[in-house]
Amino acid sequence: MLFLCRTEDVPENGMKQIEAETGHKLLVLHSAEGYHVYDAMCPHQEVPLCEGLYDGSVLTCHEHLWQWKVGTGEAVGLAECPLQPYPASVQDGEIYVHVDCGEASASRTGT
Amino acid sequence: MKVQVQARNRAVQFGANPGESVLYAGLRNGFKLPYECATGTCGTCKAKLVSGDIDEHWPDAPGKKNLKLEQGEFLMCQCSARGELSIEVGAFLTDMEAGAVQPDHFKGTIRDTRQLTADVMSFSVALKEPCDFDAGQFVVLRCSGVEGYRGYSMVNFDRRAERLDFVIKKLSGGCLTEKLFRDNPDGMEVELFGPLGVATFYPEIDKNLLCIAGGSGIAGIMSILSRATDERYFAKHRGHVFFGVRTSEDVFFGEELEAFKAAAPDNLQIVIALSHMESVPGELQRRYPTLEFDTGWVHEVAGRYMQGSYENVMAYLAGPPPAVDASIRLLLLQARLTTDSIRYDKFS
Repeated sequence: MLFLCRTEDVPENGMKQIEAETGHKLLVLHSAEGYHVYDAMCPHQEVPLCEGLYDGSVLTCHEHLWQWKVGTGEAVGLAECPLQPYPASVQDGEIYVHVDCGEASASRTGT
Repeated sequence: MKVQVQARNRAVQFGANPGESVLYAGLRNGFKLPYECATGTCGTCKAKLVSGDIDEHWPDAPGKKNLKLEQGEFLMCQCSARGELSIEVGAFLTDMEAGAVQPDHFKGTIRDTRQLTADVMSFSVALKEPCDFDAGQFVVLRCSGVEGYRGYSMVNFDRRAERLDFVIKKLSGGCLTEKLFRDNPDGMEVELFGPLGVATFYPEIDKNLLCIAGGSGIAGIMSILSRATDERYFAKHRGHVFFGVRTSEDVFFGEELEAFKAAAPDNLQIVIALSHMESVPGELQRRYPTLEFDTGWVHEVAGRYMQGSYENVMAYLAGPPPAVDASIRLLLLQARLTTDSIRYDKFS
């Protein structure tokens, strides 16, 4: 398990980019259903998603307006691919993900 | 020279001229290769070299910053084929929309340069052959003695246009703008490629128009208003235009905007937002009595005036990237527009 941040670091309907101790950049989003973790960069053109727009349910990359439902990562509107969620959990006010981000990320973006 | 492209969904091939950028060669052959600025700054036209050699026109292009150079990635707009070339493009390749104008190379001569404000001037290019384009599109232009192309939106709208009108903002360090501002460029020969860009307007859109432009971004909006006025579009649709400048000294196209307003007094609203003034000078309002003026950033002014008026709207955004981003934020989060009803081209 990989520690990301404390729950108070990400207010409800807010998001925060975290650099995990492995060096991987991840995006933590807080919705009414809980916390969601994705790669920090847009799968389209490596724009930081934390610079985008988030209304508590839909995340929008500001560069080309690709959008996703944060609960599932499902693509909405113009987006041509979904976001892959990382399994996350909260223990004692701390947010963790349950995979080796290094491997997971490499297998996703490797071409 | 033959260029083979493997895109995500299909493979295509086309011919390129010596020294011609791979992007321009593909576009003029009817293939919608990915691009936005077409001038080396955005990075959207990246591709991966599989085999063959390329010449790079601008090794320090800012659009290269996210490229994986060790994997052979390069910018199609800034590289030409030295011989037969095979490349990979990570995007889907779709056909051009029916009726869209296929871009091509043009030549012309600069005419009628005119200073509009302290740092904005207008100029025209008299074309050697007429060209078609959609309202809201741009071309890239280069002149002798200045490396590389720069993008400019057309101000006018004409079928089989024999001249293209542009505005240009003086940027410190911008080689082409400095040349145009310093020298008297009338009569200068230029090469153009276009038309380009997706922020297009045509009457079949059949929606109310919302245009938010900062500074010289008003150029493409003028073309949209020109076409809409010609086709009596505002007889059946509303139009809301928000044009942001810094001070009353920076206002330009006032007469032209008043002419659009006069043609559709009931359905067209034109508001000029002054970002660096505490109040609107009475003299400015008296000079342009049919335009509205307010103070604040253009997206803030648009947000105040548009409350409750977003029904069935198509939005066109243009100008400096921070102004476009702020407008996107307004339209998605406050106005709750969907992304397919917002059009813009990112130049940088």
